[in-house]
Amino acid sequence: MYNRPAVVLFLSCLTLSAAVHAQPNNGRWSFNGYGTLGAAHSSERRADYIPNPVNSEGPGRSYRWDPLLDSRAALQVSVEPNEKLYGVVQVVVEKRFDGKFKPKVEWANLQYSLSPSFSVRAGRIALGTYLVSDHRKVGYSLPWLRPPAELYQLVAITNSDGVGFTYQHDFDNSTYSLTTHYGSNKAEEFVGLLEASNIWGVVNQIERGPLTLHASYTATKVKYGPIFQNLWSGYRAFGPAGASVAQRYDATGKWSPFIAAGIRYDPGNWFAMAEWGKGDVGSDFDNRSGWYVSAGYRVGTVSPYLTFARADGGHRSVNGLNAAAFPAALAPAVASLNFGLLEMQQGYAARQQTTSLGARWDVIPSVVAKLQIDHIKTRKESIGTFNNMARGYRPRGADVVSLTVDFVF
Amino acid sequence: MTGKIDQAVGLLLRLVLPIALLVMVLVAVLPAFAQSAFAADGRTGNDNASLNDDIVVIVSSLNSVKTLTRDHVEDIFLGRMQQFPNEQRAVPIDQAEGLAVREHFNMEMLGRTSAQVRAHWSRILFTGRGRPPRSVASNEDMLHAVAADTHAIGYIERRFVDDSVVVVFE
Repeated sequence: MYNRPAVVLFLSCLTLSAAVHAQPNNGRWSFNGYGTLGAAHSSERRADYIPNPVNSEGPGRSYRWDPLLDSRAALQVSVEPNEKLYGVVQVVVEKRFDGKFKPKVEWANLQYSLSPSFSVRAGRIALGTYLVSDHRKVGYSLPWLRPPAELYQLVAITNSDGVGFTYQHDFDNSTYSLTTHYGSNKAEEFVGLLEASNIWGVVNQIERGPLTLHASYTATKVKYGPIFQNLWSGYRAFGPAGASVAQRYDATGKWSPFIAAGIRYDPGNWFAMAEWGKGDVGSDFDNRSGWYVSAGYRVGTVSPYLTFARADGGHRSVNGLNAAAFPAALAPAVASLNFGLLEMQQGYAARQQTTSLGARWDVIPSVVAKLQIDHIKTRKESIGTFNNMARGYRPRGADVVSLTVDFVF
Repeated sequence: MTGKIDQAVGLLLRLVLPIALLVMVLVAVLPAFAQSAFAADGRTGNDNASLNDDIVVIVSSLNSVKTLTRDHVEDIFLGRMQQFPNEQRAVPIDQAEGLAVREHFNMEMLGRTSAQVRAHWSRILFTGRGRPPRSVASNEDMLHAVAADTHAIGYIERRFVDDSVVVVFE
């Protein structure tokens, strides 16, 4: 079940980690990496728990203990030819949607400092949609085992190919940063390939001592894959009534805005965080939102935490075609289209809540171990963040237990 | 009914047992680590006060900056600020990982444990926004590195301070 290339890469990272650590930092080139080795188990055996839509499988129906839900390894090379220029390339190996482990370039960009407070970046750059979205894959840097699914599943992409401008300034005791970005991305999810040819956004962050405030606006124009296109052409085949359904639900060519706001207070011995986000695709699928509150404290090397998260939005039913308006022979075709539309609606907005209890343990300086137990309940006739179940089966929830070891070097 | 019992037994085997095993392992292993951690604290604890009092933040005597606030020091060492208040570029230098002077600097001046500082830099590093400060192996090396570079800022135990550097925060 373990994938050999991933294990080999993980082990070579650990070896390199030891080798690189022994060398003095010469200041120009640096070589770093991070990784996570994990296992997750779900009590719901008839469906997969999929907290991140970029995954196609998870613990539950596909795996009794899924070793690949949280596991990944990454290598990063950065270079600073002079004090104004900074280049970085990061390659991540993790299980992709297609089940393969082809390494993926997470970031590859050049950053140029125009002045101490103004810099420009070009290439594949990080998107700071959420408080921890740009480093959500770096398990070591997170207080939790993984970011709360209810919010973070809403925007799964972490990078964009394009340009970004950052302005950073200190106002007595506070650091303010404003980043604007423009670019494109594509991602494979359950609804097929999503091509976002236009992504732009603004990210604001203020840090004042232990307090961090974060707010972001992201707008994307998405081209939906063949699964959607087939559904719309199916509806259009039913004349004006069908075309009207397609028109109401098809979000192609429309801007989908997403706003998020977060707050973190971390004075050292304890921390508290809360975040909220809401977006829509400009169609009758309506909006979807998620939020969480989390708090933890640090006793020596152990940091237990408690998180409550909830996702909402979408609709329980869809406003498709009325089968009665068509000849009886067409009823099965109408029902099938409406069912497809309902599945899209279900997949679009997960209504779910999770209570998570976990602990982070700083084993040695660059290695942490984490244990997390999630009590998940789907709400309002939603399938939540579950998938791969038999047609018509609706998971009520699950208890998921996960273990990880994270490292950085 | 038997279905319910099966379910309960299944849940017990699949969920409760692994957790119980894990807790047992943690309980068995933790005290060993906790002890060594406390032992380390205890060791430095004896000279805690003297080492703590002794750490000073320095810049080159060629630098026109003569004093800094705690916020400046914190911002520069956490990568939030890349310049001194006089708008000259600031390049922080750390002492090597594991040295008591670094642990104390992190706690006293940055208000963070070394693990927190490392997590902070891993966030910046792996999002391509910057790199942690380079480090030197000893107080002597720090003195020479800072004295030689007008942009440098570092920290040493006070007894190593000489004319080549200026104490900007203590």
